Amino acid sequence: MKNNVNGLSVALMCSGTIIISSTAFAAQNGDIKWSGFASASASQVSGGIEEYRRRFENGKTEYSNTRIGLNISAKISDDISVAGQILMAGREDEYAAHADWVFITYSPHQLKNTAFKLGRIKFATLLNSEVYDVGYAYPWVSVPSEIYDFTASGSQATYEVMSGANVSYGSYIGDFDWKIQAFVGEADSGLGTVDSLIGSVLAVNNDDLEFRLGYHQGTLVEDDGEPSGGLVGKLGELKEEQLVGADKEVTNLGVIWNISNLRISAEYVSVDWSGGREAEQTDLFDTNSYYVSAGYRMGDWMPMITLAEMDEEGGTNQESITLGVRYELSRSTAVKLEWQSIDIAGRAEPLYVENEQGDKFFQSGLAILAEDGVEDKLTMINFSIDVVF
Amino acid sequence: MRNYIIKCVPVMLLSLIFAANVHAKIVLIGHTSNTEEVSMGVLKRIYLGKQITFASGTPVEIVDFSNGATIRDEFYVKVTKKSPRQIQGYRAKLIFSGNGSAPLELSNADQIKAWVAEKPGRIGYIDSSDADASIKVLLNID
Repeated sequence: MKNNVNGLSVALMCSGTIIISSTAFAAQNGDIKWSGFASASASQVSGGIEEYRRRFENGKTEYSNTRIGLNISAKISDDISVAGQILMAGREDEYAAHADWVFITYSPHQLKNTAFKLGRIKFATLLNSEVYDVGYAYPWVSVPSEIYDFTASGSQATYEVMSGANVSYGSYIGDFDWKIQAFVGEADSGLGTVDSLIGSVLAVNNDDLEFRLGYHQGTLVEDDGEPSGGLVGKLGELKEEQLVGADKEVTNLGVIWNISNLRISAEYVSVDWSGGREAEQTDLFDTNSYYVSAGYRMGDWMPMITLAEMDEEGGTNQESITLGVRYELSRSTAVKLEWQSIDIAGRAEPLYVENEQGDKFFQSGLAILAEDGVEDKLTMINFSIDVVF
Repeated sequence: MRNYIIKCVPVMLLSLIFAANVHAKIVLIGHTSNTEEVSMGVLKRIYLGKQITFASGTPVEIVDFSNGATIRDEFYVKVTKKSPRQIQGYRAKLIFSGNGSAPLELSNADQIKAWVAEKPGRIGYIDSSDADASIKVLLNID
């Protein structure tokens, strides 16, 4: 209830920002600039298992995906700038504001179009991972959870932020711009800290096409933090128990293609685990995830359809279909409405499965809940107002 | 009276068609000492945040008219081929990922000329009729 009240309060606050957004996108004071974004969101879930619904109660409207962010950037010199973002979101059942990311960028003008970043940096591999919380920046109410789910039961394909360093270089060939990034550091995941994180991303785009290819690897190390409560926390603990010390390799490919009024986007991510305490079973947690989405712009309206799937080698298979519409209420405000049907299938009955040697290992994902014979299909109605200011 | 209307209607229609096709001539302006060659392609990359220096390596600073200004919309359509809303979405991704910041916004040509004239490396755009000796025209945008 506390969460609902807080969520509603933030939703009302976000609504107020619509007025602001109609007049300005960014305010500036000398070399210090600030901008902001907000999403007032409401969702209703019907059916489905309690675990998947997370904090959602069956049939009850929830506002917990509501969030607001403030972005500040300052130019220290021609070569050095700092940027940070304060985010207030209901992700952890509370609406405490926190520093989402903050880093220093060094762009020596002698090395044209090269930038070095150091600090807590938004993870950049996927098409939408850098703007996960910025609803205005993508067509859905939320980005497809089959790929963009940071919890223990998610695909483990990406992270919200990483701590470390990033170097990028961009140039162009004909009409195509390209930018390559390399990064090193560590990141928090739903399973714990992923250390020795190293990877690279290549992004190529022209006026109509955006293409992104990424690869990164890392090692899951034990997390010193307090485990989150409830079944989600327990799932995370058990899965981490199996995967701690394991190495992961993630490969991703994404494309956005605008053909006149048609907007097509698709993304594929492969996560491969190896090593760890139960090396023989580690690959059961491998995931392959994708989504394909098509929308058609008709003036201020864009109806769209999205198909998505997350397939865990030895655990959960999740498929969804989303029908939605985005309406441009003003230049800085988008209103979205979605209907979503999600199918979840667990492949194994028992919580622990024995192999031929008699070793027991944890069967991942939501399969443990499927054994109870609970519903494995749910529908969601999602609504949001997204603004930038 | 009837003849008068018959004569006037085509003239009025032609005037409306002519008026609808009249667009402001926009020029890119820079500091009077600016000797950089700026092509439409380079200008596009600079205003999309993909290039932060001139070809010589000199850091570039840009300015925009306030959001909603007609000249701003025309400038972005001509230079980037993107609609105002596409630009808004593009900038949102750039800013909220920390990969860029919104340009300074000023509300009229006099303010933009004064800002550009203050420092080498600064560029902006104005209607060609507002250009004067305080700045240098670097490129005609058509």
